[in-house]
Amino acid sequence: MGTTSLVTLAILVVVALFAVSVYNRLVRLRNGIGNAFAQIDVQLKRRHDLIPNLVETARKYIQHERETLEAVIAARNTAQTAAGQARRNPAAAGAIAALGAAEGALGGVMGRLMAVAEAYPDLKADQTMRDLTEELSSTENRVGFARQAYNDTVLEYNNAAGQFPANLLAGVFGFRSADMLQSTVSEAERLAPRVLF
Amino acid sequence: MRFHQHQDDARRATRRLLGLFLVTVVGTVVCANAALALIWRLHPGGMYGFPPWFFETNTLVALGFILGGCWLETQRLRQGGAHVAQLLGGREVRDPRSAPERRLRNVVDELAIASGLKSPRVFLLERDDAINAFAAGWEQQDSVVAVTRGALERLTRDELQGVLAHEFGHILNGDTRLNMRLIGYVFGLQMIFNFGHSLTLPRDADGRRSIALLPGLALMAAGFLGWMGGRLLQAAVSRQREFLADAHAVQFTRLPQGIGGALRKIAHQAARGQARLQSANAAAMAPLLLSAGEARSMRWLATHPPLVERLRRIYGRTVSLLDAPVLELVEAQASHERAGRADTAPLDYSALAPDATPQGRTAAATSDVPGRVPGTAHPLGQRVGQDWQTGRTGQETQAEQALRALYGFTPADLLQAALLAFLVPAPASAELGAWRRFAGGISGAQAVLDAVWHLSPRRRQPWFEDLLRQACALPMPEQRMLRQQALDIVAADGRLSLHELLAALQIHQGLAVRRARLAVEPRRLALADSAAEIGLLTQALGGLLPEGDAPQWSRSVMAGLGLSAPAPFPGAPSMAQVQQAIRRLQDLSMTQTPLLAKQWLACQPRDPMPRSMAEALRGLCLLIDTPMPPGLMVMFDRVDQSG
Repeated sequence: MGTTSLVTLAILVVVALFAVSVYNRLVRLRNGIGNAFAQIDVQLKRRHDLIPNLVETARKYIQHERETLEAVIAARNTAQTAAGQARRNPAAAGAIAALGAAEGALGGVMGRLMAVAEAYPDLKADQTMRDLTEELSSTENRVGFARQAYNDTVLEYNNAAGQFPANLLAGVFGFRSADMLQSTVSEAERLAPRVLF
Repeated sequence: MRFHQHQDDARRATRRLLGLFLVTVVGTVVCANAALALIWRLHPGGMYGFPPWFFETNTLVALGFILGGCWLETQRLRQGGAHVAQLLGGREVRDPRSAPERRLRNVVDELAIASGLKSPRVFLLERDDAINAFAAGWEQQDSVVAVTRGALERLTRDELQGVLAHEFGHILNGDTRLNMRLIGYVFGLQMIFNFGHSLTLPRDADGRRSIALLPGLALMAAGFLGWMGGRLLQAAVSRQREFLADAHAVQFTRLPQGIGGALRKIAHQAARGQARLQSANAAAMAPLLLSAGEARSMRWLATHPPLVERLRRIYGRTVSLLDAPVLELVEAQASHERAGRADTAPLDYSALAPDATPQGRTAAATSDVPGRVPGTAHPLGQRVGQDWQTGRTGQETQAEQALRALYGFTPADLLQAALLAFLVPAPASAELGAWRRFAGGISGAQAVLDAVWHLSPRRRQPWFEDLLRQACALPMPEQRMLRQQALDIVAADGRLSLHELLAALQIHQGLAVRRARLAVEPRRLALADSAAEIGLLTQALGGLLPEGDAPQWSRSVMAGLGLSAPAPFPGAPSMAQVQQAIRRLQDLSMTQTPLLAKQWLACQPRDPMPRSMAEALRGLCLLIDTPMPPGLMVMFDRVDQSG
């Protein structure tokens, strides 16, 4: 074994070790993306479970606003179905997009309900309503943070898979860059429910 | 704020500083070796080279000190985050009971999602009104976060979230571990210094120095350089990690105004002297806190960067400071709790009712219990034996002993009941009804009330003030309730006397927050500028004197101070006027308030002066923060000579 073959062997070993470490890192980051996506789902479910309680408490005080309350329940049911479908089959065409649209519509209707509730001081003073409002605003924050955490995770993965020299190996192993969550184009979702209590 | 950029800067700076730290440690070892080698050379017979293993031994011993000291210190400090939180007086928030606590719990859970960490245990420092927070814990798994009561009540939701995001940044970066390790190394470097110092101490009783004096000095020098260098570098690293955590706060919340608003409020509190923590361990735990409060130490040794610099980095420009009143959320909570109790009717405070009969009070003051004939034996009034062991020259009555028992571990509500018992003048008054409404369910409260009634009149005021000082250690919600209850009781009979007003004001102002204000702002008012207020208070005090003495007394006081007597107020002044006058006199210059107190005492028309007047003068001296004249002190002396 001459020196050149020893050196070549050493180089090959080093490259192999490097490839292994890159692969492991990319796998870890990709799993992180899946986890972050599941987190969003958890928070959306929490939001769906909270809304009926809120509507029932509000109904005691604002019977006249029946249309708004009914609209909230309807939007919530749509969003729940869409979430269920996306959970069962995330790769189906348009499942995620439908979920995004349904959540956006729900957000818009909730905003209308909160604006209407402003006019009823009895409703504002009710202790249960205050607790629920705090829970609701916390849930909205959690959904937002979960989406933010998802985007941060995707950014980290894209950086790791896209930088030289890891990107050469990423292509070989089949790691493609992931998509970030875009905010929907609907204006309704941009107006997240403002909880003004 | 470009937080990724700031994070990279902070991480780079930390790496550089840690490199310098390593250089310091190595340098200390080298210095110690060099110093000892020099000493060896100077030693007669040392020119022939060094003994075998000379340098190796020195190096090993020095490293042993440094690493051993580090290990010792970190063992002490790594007892877990919950331990640290309890050292600083924290209580865990496990099931949130009130709206602010629920909000806190939610905020922490939201940040756990945003940062990808496990949700830590949350602690609350109940006794502190200063806005502050910390994260502690060696491993990421057992970290805790803690906030003070002030942070919970004075920060908006976004600001609270910013503060906690800063703490999450510390947890994510393992800053607690890093800081504690560095403190350990500094301690190790200090051990070399200490070892050198111990070598220089005289060996025997005659004061002869040991032969190890020179090596001792050498080690002291090397150790000192290493120790100081280590301290400076550790402080610098701590400052960089604070910048890093600030950047993380903005990253997690994407809202600079959150952490920014909180820091502005902290800066405002620090400027007013209200940013200190109550716990005795706070100074030792300073690196863990969000803000170090007032900067006491040198700039190079400060563990936190200046608040102004932190704000500039967060906002990108200089910003003003924010005032931090208690939030509506908390006030609403407090009034919701109070609505459950019976309300006293709203009052008309338009005129102070004069004390019922000044004569009557004087007569009553000489007996132990109002209405009783002096000389009657009563169990609580009898003296118990003198305590020879402690050497106390006075003899305490049984009543005083009962009150002294409150100085140990007392439930908060019993201490409150004791303090409020001083506001109940007589057994059959409306105030008693109000007191019972508050203290009826507390065990031991009736006994405490009896003890207070049986206090000798001379000793009432000193005991009241002592218990008030104890009450400063109560948690903030209890202090707030105490202030409110004092007003409720005093208002119970629909009339307000000067004595009651002064007692309620003392309770209001004696508790922590106000006291800080008095200490910080400069007092520049002169006597001449406050003639109206002095006149008003003198007239109010005149109401305590027998009829006919009052105008003469007012005139002589004002003449003695060199002020022109203002026109007398019709009737009695109102509570609001008296309060305002006292507040203005709190700005009176410290060199002139003793003159005022002396005049009030010197112009007394009667000798001995009425008890109520003595108590009122004492109360006023405390409220305007001036020492009591000796003539007044003697009346309340510790030795109870009266029969």
